[in-house]
Amino acid sequence: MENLRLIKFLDVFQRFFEWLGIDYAMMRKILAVKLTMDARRAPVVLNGTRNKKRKESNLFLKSLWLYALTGLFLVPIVLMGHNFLFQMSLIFGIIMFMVMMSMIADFSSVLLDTRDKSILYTKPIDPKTLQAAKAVHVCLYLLLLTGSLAAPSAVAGLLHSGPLFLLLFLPELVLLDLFVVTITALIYLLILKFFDGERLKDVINYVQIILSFSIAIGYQLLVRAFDLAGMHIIFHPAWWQLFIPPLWFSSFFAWLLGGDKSPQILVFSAAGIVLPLLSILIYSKCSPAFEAAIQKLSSYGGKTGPHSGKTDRLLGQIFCSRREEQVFFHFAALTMKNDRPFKLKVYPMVGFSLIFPFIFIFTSLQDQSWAQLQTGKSYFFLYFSLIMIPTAVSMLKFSGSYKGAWIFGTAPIKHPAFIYSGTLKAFIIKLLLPVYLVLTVVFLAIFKWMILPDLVVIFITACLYSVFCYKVINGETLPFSRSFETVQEGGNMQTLLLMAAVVPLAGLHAMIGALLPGSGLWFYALILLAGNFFAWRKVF
Amino acid sequence: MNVIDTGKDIILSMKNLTMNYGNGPVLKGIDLDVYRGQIVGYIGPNGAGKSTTVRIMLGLQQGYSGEVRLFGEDIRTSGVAYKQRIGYVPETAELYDTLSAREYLIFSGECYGMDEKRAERKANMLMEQFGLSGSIDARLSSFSKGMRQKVLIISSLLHNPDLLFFDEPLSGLDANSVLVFKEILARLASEGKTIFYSSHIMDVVEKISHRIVLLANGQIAADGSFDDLKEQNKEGTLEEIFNQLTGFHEHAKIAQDFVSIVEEV
Repeated sequence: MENLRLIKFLDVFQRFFEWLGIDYAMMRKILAVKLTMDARRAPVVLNGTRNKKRKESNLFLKSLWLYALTGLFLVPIVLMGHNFLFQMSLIFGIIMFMVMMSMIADFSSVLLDTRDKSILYTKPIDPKTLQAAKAVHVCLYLLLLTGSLAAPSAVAGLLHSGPLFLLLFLPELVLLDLFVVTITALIYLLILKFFDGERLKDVINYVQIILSFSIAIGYQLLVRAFDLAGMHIIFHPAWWQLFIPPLWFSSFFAWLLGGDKSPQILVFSAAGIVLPLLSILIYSKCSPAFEAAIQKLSSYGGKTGPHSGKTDRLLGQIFCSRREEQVFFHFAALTMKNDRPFKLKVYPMVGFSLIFPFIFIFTSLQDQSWAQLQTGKSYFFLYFSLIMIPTAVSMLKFSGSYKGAWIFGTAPIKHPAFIYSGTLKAFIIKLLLPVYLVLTVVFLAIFKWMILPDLVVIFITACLYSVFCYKVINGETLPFSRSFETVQEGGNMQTLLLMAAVVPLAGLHAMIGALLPGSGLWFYALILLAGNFFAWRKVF
Repeated sequence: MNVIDTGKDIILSMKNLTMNYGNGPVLKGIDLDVYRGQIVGYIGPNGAGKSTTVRIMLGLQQGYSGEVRLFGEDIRTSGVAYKQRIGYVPETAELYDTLSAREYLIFSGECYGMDEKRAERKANMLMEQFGLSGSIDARLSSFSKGMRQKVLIISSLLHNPDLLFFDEPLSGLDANSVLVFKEILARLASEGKTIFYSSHIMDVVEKISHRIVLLANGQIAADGSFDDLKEQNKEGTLEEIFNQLTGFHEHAKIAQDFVSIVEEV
């Protein structure tokens, strides 16, 4: 068992725990086991860096440097002036968001371990000790997480605004953590009150998706957001701002460091102390209800009606000519909608393809005016949404319930090709097309109808490109038949080469657009369409 | 087999035990005394309240009314110490499966206050008896269903408890292991351990139990040795007695309908 350093750190507080009436030796053993188990689980932020050797060390601890890096981005916000209310709201807002998200994404398994009931509560251990072990477990991680997130800004603030900054910052962070933990637990409780465990797992899954997405996008945006430093933001107090927790915490800085003694600031500051403590009080009242509700996690609601799936069926009938293909189209569409690990891997990528073209457009706006942009060729940034296709397509062979794939082997499938083409069609229609439609609407609004043929060409290219990627990457591997454990992370050469293949495709498009203005692009679209027709027949 | 008289010590006693989850009663007044050294086969249809009873006795379920005494003490007031003398194999077969078998068993033993060295030594030997010494350092997530079940059985017995709650302990075990386990049960009982055994496999319950308690609709529908039940109900096997007592007669009709639906296409 590793993680001894963390536990040894706890030994300092042994007396304190014993004073609380907790069996410290037992709590220590439970924590050692829990930490060992955590070490064998990868946190969401580190999704991409699972090493093959599976060396045993807590991956969460390794992910801390990533949080510290994120924390570095906060430093300029601390340094940019003495508008404490605005700056600190931004900082607390970002810290709160990160902590809340990773709380839900990574610590849900700590808060909501259903196995604890039958494994630990059947043993002769005082429930008080068990509750303490759980609380310490969560707090330990939370402190490390907040610590690495906030450390850079704490140092920067100390140098910039003096020791009083540090004296305010640290207790504020503790309050913020307490608030986040209790609010998260209360949200869980609320969800469990009204829905079953499956719904909660869905919520957690979506938060995980948003987290992986926003971390990747956050780096893109933060780098570009430094222009904010030049802005002057004036604060107009209003009653609804009382519902913005970061404002409570930043009010202290405005009051004690900025010398602002307006009644609003004082009220907010008071809220910053009272409300976190109040939330803890409410939570401790609800704690038994929480433990009981966790039981629901493993139970089935049973109230859900059958999903009609009519739209999927209809789409299948439109886009698939043969019965067999329709069956697999429908199956793949369902899996992509329901398989949580699959969604966790693929949906963020779908998000990237949606957001990447806009990031590049915003960047280019720094060098040219809006009018210049509208008449320019910036819509070629749409090709950036294609570079996610190879990785997303490569994920089609993985699934959380990969063991069910035996059914492909035992069923008398006459044309296995339809398994692949049906799956890929479902991917294009259910994941790629919606993203592309959104992009189309926005781009048409920006660039007007002139670019319609270009948009058509890009989409048909995307379809052709997907087929190509599928064939090269997945070959004859059955869809949804492999465990995510076997995912080779970090983009191998093959995927990189495929991504690079987007460039000549865009080049060809640009060349034809330049050489044959007018109907040339429509003609090219027709050729691509024929190519598609041919490819779907031949490749599978 | 008849009830073995290893003294009249009442190990487990329930008096007018009722439980209501909020949508109708699950247990409607259970009265039961179990004596030392008995193997009690605790059977009943799905949803009859078997797991609820066991959960209450393990202190996992609050909010019941009536009285439950284990080893002579009311579990409502006795604290957690009584769990020291209990071993439990849950039906859901839950364990911390990112741990290895060795780690899990040591941890389980330590939870019952065992010394680490002793827990490890015993776990080693017991794993060897079950033919699993080769996989003791493999993660439990890589274990087959039968292997996990063996680990659960070992973890329930490691601390030498006096009262055992086995919920479907045989699931996934092969025929030879079942034979070994049945013999283990008989020996444990003759050593004076009390075993509370729930299962849906009637043949096994019929063979191993000194006493059979049938729960239906939250009430005890039958209680006695297999011979007693046979006399009262004039049926040949426990399965038939079970069907009769739970008022289930349509099996032939359902089977017929089922097959005709299968053949329709």
